Amino acid sequence: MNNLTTGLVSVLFVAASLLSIGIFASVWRRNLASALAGIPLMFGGAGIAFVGVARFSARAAAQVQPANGPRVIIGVSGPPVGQEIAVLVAIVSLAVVALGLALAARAGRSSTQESPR
Amino acid sequence: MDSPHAIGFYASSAVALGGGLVVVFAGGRGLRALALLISGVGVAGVYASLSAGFAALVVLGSFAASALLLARPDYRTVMGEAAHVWRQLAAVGAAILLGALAYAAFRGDFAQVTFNGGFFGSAALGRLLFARDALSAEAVGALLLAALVGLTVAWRVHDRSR
Repeated sequence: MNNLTTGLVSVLFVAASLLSIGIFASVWRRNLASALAGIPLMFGGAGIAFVGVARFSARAAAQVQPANGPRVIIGVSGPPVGQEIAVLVAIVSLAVVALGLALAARAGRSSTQESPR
Repeated sequence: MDSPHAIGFYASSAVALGGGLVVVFAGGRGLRALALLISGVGVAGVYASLSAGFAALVVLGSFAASALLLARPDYRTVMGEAAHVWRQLAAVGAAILLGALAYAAFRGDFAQVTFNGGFFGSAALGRLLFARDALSAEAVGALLLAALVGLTVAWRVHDRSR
């Protein structure tokens, strides 16, 4: 039986799809609050790409040479910088949504003040 | 990546993308927020299947908070001024971007190594966030604080004016 596996290409496909869905949501919806719902999707897609690269790529190669043996090169994972960026991107996403809603509240108030009905 | 992780990755990806599509096309505010939360669960599952458990918790919290903010029922409607043709062009641009990114991913010749950072990775992330890149973590925290303070002030003024 073949094992089901995945690689960086699948991760990047998912990331690109989520990014595009988020962009589509942001540009297609006319209501500002609805358009803001696409922001976390966009940032989530970018975060998936960062995490995937951190998961599947080696950042360093250690050379190990035993006392009486050939030199061996071992691929090792460095610090998970991609995961760190994904965490920061998720927090920035929340901040952008909050700022957008604050601006929407201000815009709604000022437009109501300009044209009271 | 072994089979259980791969199954989790594909299932979570389907949940994330399906939730995202519902966010695009859902009509009601509550349904849209629920779809965003479900999409966040899918994204967190993708993170977890990629051995980023701590980042999965953070992104789940971020999506849940965004969904709660967007589900608040008393927004005034603010409509964008862009013409329909421009929004259609932007949607086509998003599709072209998807095609370009997918082609780049398909043509990429990536090296693969065994990841040995553990499942959760909170210790390594803590060292990065609070030691090596402490300034960037503080900057992002300040941005979030400013955004939440601005949101609170805007809502208080908004409530007082009603």
